[in-house]
Amino acid sequence: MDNEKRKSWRNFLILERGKNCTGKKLYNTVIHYRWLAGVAEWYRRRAADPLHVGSIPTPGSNVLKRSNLVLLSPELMVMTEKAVEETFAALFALTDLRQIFRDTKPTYRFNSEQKRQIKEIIEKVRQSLDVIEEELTK
Amino acid sequence: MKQMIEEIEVRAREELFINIQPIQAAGRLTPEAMKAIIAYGDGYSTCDWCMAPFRLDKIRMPPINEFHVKLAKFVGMDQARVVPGARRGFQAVVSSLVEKGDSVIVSALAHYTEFLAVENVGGIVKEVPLNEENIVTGENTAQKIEKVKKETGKLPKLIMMDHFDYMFGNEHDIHGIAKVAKEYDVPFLANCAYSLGVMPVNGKEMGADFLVGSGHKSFASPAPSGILATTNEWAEKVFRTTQMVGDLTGRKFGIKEVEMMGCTLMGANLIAMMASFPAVHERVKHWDDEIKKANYFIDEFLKIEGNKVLSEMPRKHTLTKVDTTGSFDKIARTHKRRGFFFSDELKKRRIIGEFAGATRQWKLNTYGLTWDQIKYLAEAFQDIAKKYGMNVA
Repeated sequence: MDNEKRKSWRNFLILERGKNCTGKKLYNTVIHYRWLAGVAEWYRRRAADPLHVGSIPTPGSNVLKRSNLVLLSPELMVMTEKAVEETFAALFALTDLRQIFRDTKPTYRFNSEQKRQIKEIIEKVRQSLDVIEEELTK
Repeated sequence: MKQMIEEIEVRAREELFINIQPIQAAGRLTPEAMKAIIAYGDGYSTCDWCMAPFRLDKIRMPPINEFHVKLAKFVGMDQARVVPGARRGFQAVVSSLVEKGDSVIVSALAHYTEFLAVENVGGIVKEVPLNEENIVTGENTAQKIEKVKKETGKLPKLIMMDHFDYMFGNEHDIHGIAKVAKEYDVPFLANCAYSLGVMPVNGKEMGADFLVGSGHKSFASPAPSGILATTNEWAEKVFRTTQMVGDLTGRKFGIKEVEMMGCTLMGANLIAMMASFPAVHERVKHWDDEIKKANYFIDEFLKIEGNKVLSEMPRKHTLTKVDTTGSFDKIARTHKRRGFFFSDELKKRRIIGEFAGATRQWKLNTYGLTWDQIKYLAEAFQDIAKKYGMNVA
């Protein structure tokens, strides 16, 4: 990022978060905004774009309205990340179950190894659901 | 089966039925590819980490660049690109090499997309006839080249030939054809849509200048997906980069490849292809087992009186064309459901994928079925035959 752009972002954030938004706090806020704007959009330089401004020419133009902005706590970030991770883990485990259906159709006579895998998959999905429930409803 | 959303049903054919559909069998996704679709089928279009030099085969995260290098090595060529289906591979090569009025040699069993690729640039297809076993030979190819030379006064600009065709699943004399191509100094494209990804294929050993594969037919990848690979010699021509400059803005997009339209196969399809690659890399080593299973099934199938196989025997591929005019079609002639009785009977036994209603000549593919499933399949056909009073040896 060039100096001019960095400066404009800094000014924007100070305006946005108040004058005390400096140092570590400013850094964290920048990280937060990067997350909101999307890493790809932040870093992207398009060959097709002679001005190299990316697809967000105005900082903050694609973020939520100011009135809806909340500073996301680290706890919230960890909680949602964990729940999302377990959602994928459960979907992936169920995909492995799909594969067992595919391997054994149409009689579904499972051998001992497949029976073990099925139990393991079910257990894995249950654990993931427990984590999701715990994280999202606590 | 429940609907995902209105009018679109959940596709559970692969979980509920033995699917003998002839052309999709080896495109069936691996669990890894299905997981990739779950994670990346979300709006990802490969642009997340597209950084300088801004080309698909240069992206490092996920390691798309590395995949391209591995892919080229896997198919025994210098360079490879992923494309949206084998047809786009034909199109890129033909568009680079063939001009209006030029002749292109193809097989009498060539896929229609080879025709379209040639027509698209104003070329003319010239078909090589099959021998009595429905095989294209080097000798017949040489004769056709001579004929074209005599008729037009010019050599053809390209030879496009199938390794295994889609109609019979027969293996053609690809090495002999490559040799003829070299003798006449005509570039040779090997269409490996039904071989690359199921059996070991090495483009250079084959003598090919271009190798085209299909992701959704033989590489356990979602449609559309495919592979175009070539040698360094031809890469300069087929993967040439743009020279165009905007007259107003002076813009140029130097690294983008013209025939690839910049980026080719993007998003979840590409990531799924990459996810399947380790399994594909491994499974080609077990092609012999697939052939054993295919031949076992065909032997059992032929025990039904009147059944015939139209493909070469013994089978060298899992895709086979059969003729049941002398067996199941006899029943269809008087059955109230006509040819659909056969589909009904198969479906009752949880088998699908035959051409619904067809009881004369039709195709099937046993790729990827386990031994238990192969035996079940063979017994199911015999069971239907016995039910309708046919003799089973």
